[in-house]
Amino acid sequence: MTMPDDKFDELLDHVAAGRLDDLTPEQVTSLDTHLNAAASSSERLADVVPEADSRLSVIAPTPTDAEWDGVWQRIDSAAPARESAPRVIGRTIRFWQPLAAAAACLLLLIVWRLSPVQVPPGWEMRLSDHVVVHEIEIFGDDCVFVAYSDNESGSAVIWVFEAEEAREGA
Amino acid sequence: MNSVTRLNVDRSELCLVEQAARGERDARRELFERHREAAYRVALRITGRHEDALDVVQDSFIKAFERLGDFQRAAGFKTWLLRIVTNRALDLLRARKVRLAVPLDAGDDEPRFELPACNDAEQPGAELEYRELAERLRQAVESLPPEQRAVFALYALGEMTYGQIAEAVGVPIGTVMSRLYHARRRLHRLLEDLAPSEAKVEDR
Amino acid sequence: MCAAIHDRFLRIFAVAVCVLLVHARADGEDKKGQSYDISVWAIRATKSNTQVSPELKPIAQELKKRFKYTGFKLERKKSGRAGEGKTLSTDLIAGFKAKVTPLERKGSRVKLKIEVTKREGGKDKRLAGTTFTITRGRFQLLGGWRIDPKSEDVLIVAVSAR
Repeated sequence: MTMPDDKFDELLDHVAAGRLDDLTPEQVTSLDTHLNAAASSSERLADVVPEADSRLSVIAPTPTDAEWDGVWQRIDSAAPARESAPRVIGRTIRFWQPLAAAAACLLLLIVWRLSPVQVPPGWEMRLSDHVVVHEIEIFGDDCVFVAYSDNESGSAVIWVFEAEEAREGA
Repeated sequence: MNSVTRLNVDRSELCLVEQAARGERDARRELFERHREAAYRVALRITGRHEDALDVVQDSFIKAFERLGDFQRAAGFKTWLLRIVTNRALDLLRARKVRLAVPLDAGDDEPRFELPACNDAEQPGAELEYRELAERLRQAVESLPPEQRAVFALYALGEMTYGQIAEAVGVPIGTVMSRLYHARRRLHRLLEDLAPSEAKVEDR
Repeated sequence: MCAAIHDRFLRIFAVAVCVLLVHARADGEDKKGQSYDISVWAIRATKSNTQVSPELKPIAQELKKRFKYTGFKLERKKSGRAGEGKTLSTDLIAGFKAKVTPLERKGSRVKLKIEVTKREGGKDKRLAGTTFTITRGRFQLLGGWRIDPKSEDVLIVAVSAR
C-alpha cells in the first residue's frame, strides 16, 4: 500500500509525539510498510521512547534478595571467573593470533600481487579500512576500547575513557 | 533494523564490560546487579511465571558472560543482554508448548480470553488491590501472541527507545511500532474497566 | 607445555610463510630501511558548536554517528619523515604529544606504533600506546582525553603513514 509522503510524515509525527494509539490499524499497517522500506525515515523513531501507560506497567514484586543470591551463585558457578586483577601501572592487551596472522599475511600478499599499490597524492583525511589493532597499552585507571564501524569497511576508532569520567558516569 | 550505533553508552559500564570479558568476578557481579531487574521484568512478561523468569535471567547472564567476546562495544550492553533474555524466554515458551487461543497474526484485535472480574468486596487493602491488578495484567499479557508479548515486555520497562527494542528483538523499527500498537490495543480492551486513576501503583 | 610448543610452532610457521612469500615477489617490493612519510593531526571534538574544519568534512558524518560530539576542529597538523623503527615526535595541543614509530610496510598496508603523552609536572606522562596495521595514506583515530578540565572538549589524534 503506497502513501503520500506528507501523509506519512503526519502519521510519523503522531507516533514520535507519543500518540501511537490515535492511529487506525490500517494507518499502522501502511506506516509499518513505509518505515521498513525507508530506513532513513525509521531513524526518526530510533531515539523515541514509546509513550508510557500506567495501567500496563503494573508488575508483581520482584525477587527477594535471597532469590537473587541464589541466581548469582548459579551464574558464578556456571561461568567461572577470577578475582579482580590487581592494579598495575600499565596494562597490555594483545590481539595478535598466530593463525590469523598467517592468514592475513597470505591474503595481503595475494592481493598485493594482483593489484598495484596506489599511493595517495596528498594527505587527505580518509579513515583506513580493515584496521587491525595488535596491541593497546593504557596507563593508570583509564579504560580503552575499540569501536568498529557498523558497515563492512572495517574502520575503527580507539577510544579512551579517563578514570575520572568513568567514575562520574557510574 | 536500526542501523545507528551511537557511542553514547555509559562509560563506566564499558569499563565493567571490558573487565567482565577478562573474567573478573567483581565486574560480572556489578553487571548482574545493574541489569537483573530489567532482565527479570522482561522475562516475566514473556513467560508469565516467576520461576521461569528467574531461570531465564540465570541462563541469559551465563550466556552473556560466555559470549562477551562477541559483544560489539558500540551498542549498549543492556540492549544486547535483553536480546538474549527475549530469545531465551521465547525459547522457553516454545519448549513449554503453550497453546494460545489467539492466532499469531498481529491484525486481530478481538480478545479471546475472558479475564476474571475484580470483586471490589474482596479487596481488603491496597496491597491486595495491587496484586490483583498485576495478576489481571499478567493474564492479559499471556493472551498476546509471542511476537507481541516480546515487544510489549521490553516496552513496559519504560526506558527503551524504538531503536533499542528493535535491536533487542531483532526486527525493524516499523515492525516494533506495529506490534506494540496491536499489543496495547488488545490489552486496553481487556483492561478497559481499569480507569487510569485505579492503576497509580508503581512498579516494584 | 604442549600448548606453548604448539603456539610457538604456529607463530614460527606464520613468519616463515610470510618470509618465503615476500622473497618470492620479483618486482616492486618495498625494501626495509627506507623512510616513511608520517602525518599526525590533532583534532578538538566539542559539543559546544557544530563547526567542522574543512579538512575534516570527509569524516565528520562518520564521527557524528559514533560520538555525541557535534563540532570537530583541526587544531594542528604535522608531517615529517622517519626511518623504519625510528620515532617521529610531535607536539599536539595543551601539552599533549604524539610519538609515532613506523614498524613495517607491506604492499598497501603499514604497521605503526603510536604513543600519546601529556606534559604534567615537567614530565611527559604516558597515557596510551597502541600498535596497529592500516592502509597506507589513510588515517587511524585515537582519542578521548579531555583537553581542558573546564570544558568537555576532547582530543582526537589522527595518524597516517605511507
